[in-house]
Amino acid sequence: MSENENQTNLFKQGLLKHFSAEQLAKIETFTIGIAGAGGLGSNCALNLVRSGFKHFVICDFDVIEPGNLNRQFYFQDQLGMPKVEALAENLRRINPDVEIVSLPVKITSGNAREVFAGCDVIVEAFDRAEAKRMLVEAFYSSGKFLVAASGLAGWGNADAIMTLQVHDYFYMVGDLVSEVGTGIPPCAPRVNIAAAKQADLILSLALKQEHSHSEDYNI
Amino acid sequence: MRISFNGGTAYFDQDIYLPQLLEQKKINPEKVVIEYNGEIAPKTSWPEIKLQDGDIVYVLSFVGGG
Repeated sequence: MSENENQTNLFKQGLLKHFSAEQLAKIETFTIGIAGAGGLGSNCALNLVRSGFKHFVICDFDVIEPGNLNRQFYFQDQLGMPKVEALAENLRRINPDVEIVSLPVKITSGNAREVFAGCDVIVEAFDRAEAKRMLVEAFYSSGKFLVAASGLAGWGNADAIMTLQVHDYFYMVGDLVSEVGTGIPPCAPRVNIAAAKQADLILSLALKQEHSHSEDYNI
Repeated sequence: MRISFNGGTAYFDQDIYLPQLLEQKKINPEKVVIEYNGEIAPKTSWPEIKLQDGDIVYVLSFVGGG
């Protein structure tokens, strides 16, 4: 428990200007597993914490490098730190009561289910297609809500970053084709759009049957 | 033999296993998951899955970046 737990949490007070106590209580019941704390994972986590989620298991074995700062939720004075450590620090600056299990480990097909066993939701936020494949295969039929991303490199045509519902518990965000490569870098706007859409799917899951949007949103 | 492949139809006149199907379709097996008749088929099981008439195969591909 955070040392701030007994103090007034102004962030939570602020959230309650926008959500009812019942809505926030629902959001707070979820535990989110985030596989990868790079461009997708760090920004998805940022959006989720701002939305009131407070239980996380975050896995990444990388340290922060200068090339990450163009899109990832880290700062220059955190260069060289393990990403999971820096991310926990940054998320606690938003909500000091957030509870994060930070695991600087490599997720494999052998440990994925065990690492995220306590999670209701899995965010696939890896960089490499092979790792995305592995994680999606591990959780495809797990009964956990799985949100993956594929196709977010470059710039422009941001409306092509869409949400594909593969089945009831598996969604994929991205344009499905834009791969990072020579001349096609990962850039903040498209990476953030994908990460924010992943977070929005999870918020929609938590608050389902309470649509704030006028359209009939299928989740 | 006729199977449903990613929503379309594919025809084969001889036995074919999942890895050969990917090869024919020029799909990198390291970057896809396969739903086979409504269930996820783990990659380790692909060499044992011989396609049958009427099978429904859905290959979901991933590209790098995050």
